[in-house]
Amino acid sequence: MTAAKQVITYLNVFLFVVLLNFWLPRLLPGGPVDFLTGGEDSAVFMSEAQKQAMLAYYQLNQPVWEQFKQYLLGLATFDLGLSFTYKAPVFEVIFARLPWTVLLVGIATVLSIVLGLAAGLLSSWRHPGTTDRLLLLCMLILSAIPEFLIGMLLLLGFAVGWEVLPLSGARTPFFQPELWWERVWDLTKHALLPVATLTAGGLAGMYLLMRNEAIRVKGEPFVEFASAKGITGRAVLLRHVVRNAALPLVTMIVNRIGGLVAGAVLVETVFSYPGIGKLLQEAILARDYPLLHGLFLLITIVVLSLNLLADLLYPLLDPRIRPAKRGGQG
Amino acid sequence: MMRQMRNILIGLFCLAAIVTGCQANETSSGQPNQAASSASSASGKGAETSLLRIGWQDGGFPSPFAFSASGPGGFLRNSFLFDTLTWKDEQGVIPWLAKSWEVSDDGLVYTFELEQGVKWHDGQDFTADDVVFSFAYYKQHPFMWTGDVSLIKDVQKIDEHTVRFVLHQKYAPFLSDLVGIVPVIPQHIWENVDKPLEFREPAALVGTGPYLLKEYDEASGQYLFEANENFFKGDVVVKQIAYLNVQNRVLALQQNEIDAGMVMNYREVEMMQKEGFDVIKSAPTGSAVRVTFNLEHPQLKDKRLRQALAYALDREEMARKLTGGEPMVGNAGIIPPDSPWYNDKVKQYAYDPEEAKRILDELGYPANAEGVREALRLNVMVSSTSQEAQMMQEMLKKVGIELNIQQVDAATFAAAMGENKYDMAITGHIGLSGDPDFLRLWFLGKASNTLAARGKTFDHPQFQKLAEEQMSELDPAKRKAIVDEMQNILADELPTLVLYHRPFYFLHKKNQFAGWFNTYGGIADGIPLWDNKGAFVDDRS
Repeated sequence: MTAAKQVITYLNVFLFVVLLNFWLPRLLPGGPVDFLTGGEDSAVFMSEAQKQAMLAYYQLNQPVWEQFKQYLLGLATFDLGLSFTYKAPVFEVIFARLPWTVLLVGIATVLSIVLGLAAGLLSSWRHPGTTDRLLLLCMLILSAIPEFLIGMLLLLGFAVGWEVLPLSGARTPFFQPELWWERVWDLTKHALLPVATLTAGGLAGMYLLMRNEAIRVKGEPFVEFASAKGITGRAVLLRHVVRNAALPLVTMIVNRIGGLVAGAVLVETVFSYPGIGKLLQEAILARDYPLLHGLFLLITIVVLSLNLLADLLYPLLDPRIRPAKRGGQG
Repeated sequence: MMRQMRNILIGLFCLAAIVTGCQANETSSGQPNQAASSASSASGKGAETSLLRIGWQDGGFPSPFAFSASGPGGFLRNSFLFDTLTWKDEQGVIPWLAKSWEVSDDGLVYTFELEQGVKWHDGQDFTADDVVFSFAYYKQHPFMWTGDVSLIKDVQKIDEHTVRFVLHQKYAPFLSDLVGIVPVIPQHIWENVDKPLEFREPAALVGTGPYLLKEYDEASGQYLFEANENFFKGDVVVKQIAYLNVQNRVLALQQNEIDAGMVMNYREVEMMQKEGFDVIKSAPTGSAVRVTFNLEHPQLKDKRLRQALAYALDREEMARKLTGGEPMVGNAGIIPPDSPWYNDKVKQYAYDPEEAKRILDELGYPANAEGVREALRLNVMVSSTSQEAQMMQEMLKKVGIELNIQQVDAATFAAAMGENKYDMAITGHIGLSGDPDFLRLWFLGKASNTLAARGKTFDHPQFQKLAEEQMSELDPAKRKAIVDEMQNILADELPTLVLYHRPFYFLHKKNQFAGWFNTYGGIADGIPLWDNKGAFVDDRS
């Protein structure tokens, strides 16, 4: 693929997603109107006049094509409008919560990569052997447990049973510490369980891939040659095996980050963590169209950027697919 | 914003370092830091309490135009900041921003004498102009809770501290359900605001109320209110109130993350009482878990079938199993038995499966050899896992009716109700113990939400006539007679069948703060909760 072609592909995907963003939420049964007027368990008797004023305000009384036009216009001017439920600009609503998700997903990504790769490497080094088999067994079990269950078990153990960590939230409400490290400690306490859950959820995939790749590379002739030269086992592993196993890992890691964002929806819900995962869940339940547009757009941009990153990194890591050679592996 | 971002990023780096670097030391230093010690002095009004932490979910930005209408939380948070002309306590309607009032003989003109020396939170004087302005403003930009300002013809300023309301028609609950709900807003701020929903400056929260909003954490939906030291009605004895959006109130109470919270499960109440918590039960109950029938359904439009269903359901058993404590079986006439508007002579449907079978046979739904009435297959729609629906399924099976449970999410539920695409639906909600005018709103298509089949009126000319009559009947005894008659019609026709009235329980610690009380008929339009701002004010008068 030439650079121009690649740009066109990305643009097409982006445009497709932008269109999907508008129509997908509207295909869900039910609409936001009922939520705006109070939902099921409230005692609001909104008069017809009040309801009409509200519909007009959110432009929900206009034909859907008109709404679509407004949506596209909004995208072009970087104005996604007001969230129905929060009655605030979508950008503000999202950016108030984004740092929390970045915190969780960021740390969990780093941890699951570091731990997963280290464990995978260890496993392949000891392959075949008891350590390898034990590790493999543990990781397979871990990968079979759904994330929300891990989260609940951790919550029951550490917050309900043992009472050493808080039940929910991202920080102690209205806590005004005098020292900066008290603030950090407070954030840590709240982030510990969600991060542990997300990390556990991402760990096994990393481990399995690293282990398989490393075992495969270990069987290649150049590794045998390196060993024959008299290089120690550890050096062979770190200098030769890891470098050659790195290629598929880059793709995997980049994809994992996207997956962790999805995992954040579950984990943030279990721990009442005020990030965009929980926001997404609430927005879907309330059929908050503008907020859904904003969140989908954000997730689309993140995933596409990560893909782009992988595309750009690949030729740097692998001389075999640098510009001269086109077609096959790209 | 930027500084906050940077702080969080710095926090992120530190966190990463701590977590990766010294995981082993993580749990050593134990006890969680509390926001502030919730220490308190002796109990009772007059005695000060420094902080109360109450569990409740997010209610949105608490300006009069932006709070969330899903659930009563938004309205209640708003009521801490803004005041109305009247308010309610244990006994009924009390003067609030209005010191006193007079009603003309024809019931159309109300003259209010306002409190003097009241200041807005920003120090400006509150005057009659603000009242006139507020109601004019709400005609353009509706207040998003209840309170039908379209009933008001005109609001006039008589002098600095007197206003006169002229109504289009007589409206019995005017004092409680209109000027007792719609808050007065400062003219000097809102006259310059033409998009009130988007107005989120600190000025949007300037009211006359007993509290100021010190902090609103939008992302986690938590509030910190601080007492208004210049409150016109008296000393605010609880200095700070925090509303915390906790996932599980019972666990949070046990772990001292909150001081008070509402629960519905009686078993949890019993358990928490043993652990030393004090309990108030909502009285009047004000709530109902009920079955709404689609009156356009080819089979259910026959009231005899609805009556047969009522006989077939053992609602007492349901109430006992699902509520515990003292179960309150649903009144066929809808108004809960503990409300002053309840008609105790209304027709009731005791559990009688034989009677149900007799009616079903009579209606031409014969049972086959297995006892199943094949011609009668009904659906019941629920928006969450519903034990009521499961019990109904079992009970109806005994009389040969096959009931299919359709579980959908809340938005789908609401849409299906609005479009009349259901057979039966189970809803649970509050709002039944306030003024009985709610019956008119539900069944005459005035209420634009899922409590009633929206846009659909209950097609019963006599009921409609009575509903209009009670609205303008100012004599309480005569009005009670009309409402009694309305309940008779509802009990016979059964457009909806109340399964049981569900009590709410408030868990708290008396030695921390003992001022909690049940509001007469519920706060505002019948909210059976305890966060009545009157509880936190030591009234001077």
